[in-house]
Amino acid sequence: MERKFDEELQELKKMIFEMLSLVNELMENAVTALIQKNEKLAEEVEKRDEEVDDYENKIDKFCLELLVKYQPAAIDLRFITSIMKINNDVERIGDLTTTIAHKAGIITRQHPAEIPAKINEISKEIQKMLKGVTASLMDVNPEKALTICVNDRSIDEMYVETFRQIMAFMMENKLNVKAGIELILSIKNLERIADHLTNIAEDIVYIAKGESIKHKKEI
Amino acid sequence: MKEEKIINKIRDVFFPVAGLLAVIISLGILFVLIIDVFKDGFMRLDFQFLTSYPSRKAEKAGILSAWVGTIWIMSITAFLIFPIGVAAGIYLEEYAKSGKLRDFLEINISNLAGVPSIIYGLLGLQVFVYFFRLDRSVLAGALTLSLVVLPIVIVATRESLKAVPLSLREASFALGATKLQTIIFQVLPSAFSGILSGVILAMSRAIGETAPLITIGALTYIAFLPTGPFTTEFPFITLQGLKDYFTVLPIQIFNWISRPQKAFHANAAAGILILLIISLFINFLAVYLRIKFEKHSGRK
Amino acid sequence: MEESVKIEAKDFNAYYGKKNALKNVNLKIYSNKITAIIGPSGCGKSTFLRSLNRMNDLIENFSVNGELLIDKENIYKKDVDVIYLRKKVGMVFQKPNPFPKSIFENIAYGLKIHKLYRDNDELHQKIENSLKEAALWDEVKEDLNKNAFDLSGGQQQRLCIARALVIQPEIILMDEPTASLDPISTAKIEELIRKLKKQYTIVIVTHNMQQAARVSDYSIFFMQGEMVEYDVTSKIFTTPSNKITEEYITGRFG
Repeated sequence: MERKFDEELQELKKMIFEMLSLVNELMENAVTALIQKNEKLAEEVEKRDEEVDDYENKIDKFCLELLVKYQPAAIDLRFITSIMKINNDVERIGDLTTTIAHKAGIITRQHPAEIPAKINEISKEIQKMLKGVTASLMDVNPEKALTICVNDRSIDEMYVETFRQIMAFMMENKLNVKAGIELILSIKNLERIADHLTNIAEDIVYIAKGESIKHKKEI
Repeated sequence: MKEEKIINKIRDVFFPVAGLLAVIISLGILFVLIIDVFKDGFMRLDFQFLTSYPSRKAEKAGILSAWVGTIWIMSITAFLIFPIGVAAGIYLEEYAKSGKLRDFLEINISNLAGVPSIIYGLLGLQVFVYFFRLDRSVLAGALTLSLVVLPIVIVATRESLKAVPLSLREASFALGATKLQTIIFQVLPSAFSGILSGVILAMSRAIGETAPLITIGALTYIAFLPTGPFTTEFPFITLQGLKDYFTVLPIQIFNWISRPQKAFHANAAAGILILLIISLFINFLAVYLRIKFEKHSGRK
Repeated sequence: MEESVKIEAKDFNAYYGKKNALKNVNLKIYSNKITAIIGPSGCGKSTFLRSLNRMNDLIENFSVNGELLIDKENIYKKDVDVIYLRKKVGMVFQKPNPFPKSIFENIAYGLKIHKLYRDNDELHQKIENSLKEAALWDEVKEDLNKNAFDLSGGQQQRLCIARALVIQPEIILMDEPTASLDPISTAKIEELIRKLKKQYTIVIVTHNMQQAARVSDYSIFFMQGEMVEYDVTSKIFTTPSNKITEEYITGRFG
């Protein structure tokens, strides 16, 4: 039996996918702007943050509406409440992306000698994570989601390595310090994006299994 | 479409009109009858008519022995059918397990309701008058009439018990009441107005019965009253009256009607009026009691 | 905390004629807890509830096998006094069913048939207490001789609860007690049920899933005469472990 409720749940899913793909695009552009020192692209990303905020509001409102209309239970209840959390995480990713774009502008104006190639690698890894999150949310697949959580660790390692590179770059020349700090903040933001994606993956596991894997050290 | 609409409209008008017509016709016939009886009998309705015994002279004849006999018979019949009919109804509805015995009893009771009353008269003659040697007494008459109307009381009792909602019984049982407590304290009070209506309906049927009483040999000419129930001596109550001969209104009316003289026909009409009045009174009593008990039991 | 078992079913089966309405039910219901029984119509939840005070005895062709224990006594054993059982296991029905009598008479009936009072003062005292317990006293104390049918639906149902409480049962069975009531009356009764938990063991059958989630400590899900799942209510309604339970409580049935 096709129910109105199921239709609306699909609609909710569609909205969160659209938001995820928007954030994915912005993040890609922000990192490209940073690496290619493209100030115009960076500005564009900053401007489009509003779109993400619009999605956040829309999804929040829709979730509340579904809760009050259908008083869902079990998997439906877990799905909607988790979507509300995921929504929050995606919006934070949007904010972090905007910050990276903003930093890209500053760094471009500072004219640093080179941008560590590792940044691009981290960015690629995060995009892979985001695709994985999207795919596992598509069919609420906890196994797929769990591999993402593991992925987060390799990003942490890459972050530490890149951090050292930038430190070395700053020690070479005092003039590099300002750009270096901005660069460190940028990769820190990328690393935090990965954390948010991990949160989302954990929420997906919760939707599927009904148990929280957060705060569990070993998976 | 349009034609259908018109046909429906005609139907909508036709049926209420046809129904109203049927009501008017039946009420009209009744009304004409009453007017006719009233015209014939009103002149004879006076105190003397009520307090005189029958006589060969029409203008001196009265219905004293007839109406007293009717009231006697009715009182005793009521006294008999109420406990017997209600008890039988309770047994069949509440206690008898569904099975052959109950089926057998049920079929017999519904058959009894359809038996012509004159057959009961023959039964009464055989059983009460001859076998129990009750002679043509008030008691034999009342017993015979009781037989005629008992099925009505039993059926009415059963229907009233059936109409008591299950939720009421459940409420009582759930509190740990026994079956007897549930029946006595909850079911019967709730069904009482229906049972009462059944008894009174039976009474109004009995009051008009002539055939069975004639069959057992009720007299048509009686110039004395049955012994009254109260005496001046201890124990102040006597059942002597049960053994006396009697007549009742319908028999008296029947007797007068079958005479050739016009004057007696006027007497008969007056008798019919009295019978109607008693019968109406019983019906009003039924309505009054039902309203009273329904209020009491809270069912609306 | 170790909870004490009040009711226990062991391989309990119930039949209407040949139809097997309850199949090998095994469960334990705990003292001073509210246990909700949920499930689709005809799943056997009412049959189970009505087995607990042997109300099903009124139905011809009803039979059981297996054991149904209350305080470790099998209530379907031959020598069990059904009257005593029903005094101990009170019941509140789907539709308020007060007797067509005064408020006072409604409650006095149970005391009278069990002879639970010595004098008029005690009778009045007990009636007052039970009305207070059922949160109805303040609304009716002015006129206890009023006909129960003149009360509102919610008041009638609280009267029925008071009527059940006055004979001091240990267990109260509730068969969809708010099915015919408006939301405000329903909320009042739910509040009352939560309060009664302190003194009574409550088993409630409900079609209203939110109600089960709101009032009960444990929930039992029945389906086609079988117990499918039994767990802490919050678990059943957020993360049921059985697929069928999940489908039922999310409304994706059949």
